[in-house]
Amino acid sequence: MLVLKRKVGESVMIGEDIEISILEREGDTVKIGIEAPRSIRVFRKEIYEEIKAANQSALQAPMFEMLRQQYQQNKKDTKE
Amino acid sequence: MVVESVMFGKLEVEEQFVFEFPIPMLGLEDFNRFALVRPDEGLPFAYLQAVEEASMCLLVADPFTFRTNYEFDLPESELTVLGEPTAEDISVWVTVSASGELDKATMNLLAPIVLNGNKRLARQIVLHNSGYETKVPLFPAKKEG
Repeated sequence: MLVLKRKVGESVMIGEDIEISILEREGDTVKIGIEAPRSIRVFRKEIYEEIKAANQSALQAPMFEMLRQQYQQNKKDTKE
Repeated sequence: MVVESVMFGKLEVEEQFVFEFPIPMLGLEDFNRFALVRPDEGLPFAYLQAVEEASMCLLVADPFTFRTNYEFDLPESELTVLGEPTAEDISVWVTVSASGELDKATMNLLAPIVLNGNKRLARQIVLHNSGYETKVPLFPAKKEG
């Protein structure tokens, strides 16, 4: 891993068109600004992992008839 | 067109229901084209079947059926990727995790899938700082007794 020291107000370029700026520091929290082309998706890592997991979990989809039965059963239960 | 599906067998899908993701969904990077399959319009569920891979079929739900107050803004940059849709062109689905009982199924309200039915473009967007989460129960817990 490349490690660089930066001060508040300074930034780092990644390639030609991605700029990461250090905006603020407060205790152990660092506020960073990211400028990148639209095609580059930027996420907090834990969110990236969660969405990936949710997408993959949606692949374990139940068959439609089972889904229909369970959904209608659930609607019935909710009304009762 | 004919789409092969492990879930449904050979599917005859009208072109208007085949969507392209210019930027793929997270974790599904190899797949860009999905058919929206809705076996029963009366139910708030659909499947996104990958056109190129029969085994890849995602369950999605209409979020507004389960949370009537669900809302978000589409930033300008997302509208561009989606081909500048009008409000009527747009439909919204969310992925559902329902490997066990549907009772315990959850939906991902943080990253809805937005479809432009006019240009047949799709995009999974991330609602940063919205407070929405990735594992929201479809059905609020039932009270016992």
